[in-house]
Amino acid sequence: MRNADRSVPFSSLKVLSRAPAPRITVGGVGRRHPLETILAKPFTRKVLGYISQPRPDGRSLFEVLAENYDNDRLRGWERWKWKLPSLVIDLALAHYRLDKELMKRKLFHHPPTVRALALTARSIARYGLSAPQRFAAPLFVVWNITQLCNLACKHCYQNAGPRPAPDELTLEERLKVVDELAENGVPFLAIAGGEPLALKDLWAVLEYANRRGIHLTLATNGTLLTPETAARLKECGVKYVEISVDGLDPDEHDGFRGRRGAWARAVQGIRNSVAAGIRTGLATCFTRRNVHRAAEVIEFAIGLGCQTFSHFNFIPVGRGREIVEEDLTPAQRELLLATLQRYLAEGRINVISTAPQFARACVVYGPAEGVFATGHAGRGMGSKTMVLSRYIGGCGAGRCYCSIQPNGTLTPCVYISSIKVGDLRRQSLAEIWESDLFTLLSDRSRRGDHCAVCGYQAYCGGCRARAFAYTGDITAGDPGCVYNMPLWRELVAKASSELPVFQPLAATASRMERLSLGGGPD
Amino acid sequence: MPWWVAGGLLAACAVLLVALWLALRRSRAQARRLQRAIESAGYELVHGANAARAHLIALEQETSSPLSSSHLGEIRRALERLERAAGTLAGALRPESAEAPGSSSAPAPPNPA
Ligand code: SF4
Ligand code: SF4
Repeated sequence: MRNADRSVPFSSLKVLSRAPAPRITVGGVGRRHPLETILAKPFTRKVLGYISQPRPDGRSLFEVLAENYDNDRLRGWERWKWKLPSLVIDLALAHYRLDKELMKRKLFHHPPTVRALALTARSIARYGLSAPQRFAAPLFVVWNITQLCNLACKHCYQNAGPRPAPDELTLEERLKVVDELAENGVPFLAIAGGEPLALKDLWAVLEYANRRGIHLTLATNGTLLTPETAARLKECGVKYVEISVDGLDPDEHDGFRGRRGAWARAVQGIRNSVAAGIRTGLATCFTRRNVHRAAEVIEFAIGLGCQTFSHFNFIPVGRGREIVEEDLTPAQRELLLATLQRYLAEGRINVISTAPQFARACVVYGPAEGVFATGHAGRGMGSKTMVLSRYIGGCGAGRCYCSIQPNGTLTPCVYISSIKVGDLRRQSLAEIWESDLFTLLSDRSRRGDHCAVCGYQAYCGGCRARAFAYTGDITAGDPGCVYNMPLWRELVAKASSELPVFQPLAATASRMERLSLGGGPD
Repeated sequence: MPWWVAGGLLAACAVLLVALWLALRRSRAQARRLQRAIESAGYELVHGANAARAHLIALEQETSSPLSSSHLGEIRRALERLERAAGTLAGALRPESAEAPGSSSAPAPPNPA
């Protein structure tokens, strides 16, 4: 059954069924930044609200100011009008010894960053400063633009196949979705699928989203990524392309992906993307089959010229449920996180992970002035980034991130596609974003197991998709985390009492039923 | 009081004040160093302990698997951090003539091997 065909209304969701566990982590040593005190003041909230409020033309004062700062294209009176504000900004930059040209390029004249800052200001004005921060609109959206795919991967969360879903959005509706995102100030959009490159409407959507100032990235299986396609992606403003490769063994990859030659074509796709000058990432989903080769896979990515290595956390949804026994144990995942953190700290390649514990791992394994992950895609150096990570780190589902399905339904995350929160065909994004479920997900104190009491709650929060997939309760602890070991043991014991601890969780569909995993997810 | 006695007293007072001011400045610098050292040691101690805890939990579950040695490696590294923190604290608490805490003059952690 296709994911989108089944939906679970919020009123019937099982929540808060699990009690908090005794706390086993020592309370973190909180670093504070003076800006936190300033941003928490009611007066600052008022000012932020004023400068980030969309004006009649849809843009905020902050966006207008950023665009006109030291803008050579302004003429006559307009040029003079913006002289004084530009001078004030220049003085501030000089005071903090910041490189003016760099700040212009990376901040003031970089629309997605300006939009992200305006959205952050609007969010603080609306909800106050909170760790983690709840956002007034998604900072980041993953759009599974089609169900169509030229491969049939075993772990596909989307159950994608050779045909698009019958109810997919038309091109006109897709462009309306782009409008909706732009009007709500969404800065970052990742296009995924299915296989987005198999969709002929893709190009029109990319061009339009680029025109509307949205920062674009694309996730692909890489088999259709020819040099021409890569060049065209660059032309359309795609800033980052992520290609999935399951490991170093072509036969294993091909077997997993359901097509001979898929590995070679994916690797060629990576080369084509790198050659086109696009920031390129190699993404791998680690399971018990390949986790022991994690370091080799990262070295392989470095050798191919990738700027990023992306770890996909295995989540048993979609076809992934059929291979749930390949999920990593919490112990295996912890070692993997330590390995990823070391590569990130080393700096030869950027490392990102969809495991929310990665932000926590950077704090646990790194020094105070080291590199920290700020979410599923960001990172930075030093204690300032560590502070930032407390506000935007960890699970973003329904808080700063959401997913759009091929038929326009909106879900908290691509891995929670069975909970339909709204429908962009009928509702506005702003209306859907106010959902009770998103309010619940944004409040990390409302969790079960160790996630309820964890010293790293603000950095991580646990993966809601994994909690939901394993327990049917979206607020349960993440059973993939080592601090939630009692929960994991409980699940394993439920799967089959005769199994020794840490043996495969469940191998067959009937065992899955006995695990009572079917309560929530697809 | 003759002028030279008053002058002498005044000079002595001035010298005393300067000495006091210098001592205060030194102790403030010492306090700042101590605060920084305690903060940094606290960071290492807390997260190092949590790292050690994570791998101990893992180890308890994996005793017979080949992963055990990797977890032991992690625990050893975490332990080294705890020792480093102790070293930093010890460095800061030594007389002020010693180098700043966290510098190479802080006592080296004992060799875990
Ligand atoms: S998953 Fe839960 S218990 Fe584990 S680090 Fe994250 S918040 Fe803490
Ligand atoms: S539920 Fe949260 S942590 Fe899990 S994949 Fe989605 S956004 Fe990431």
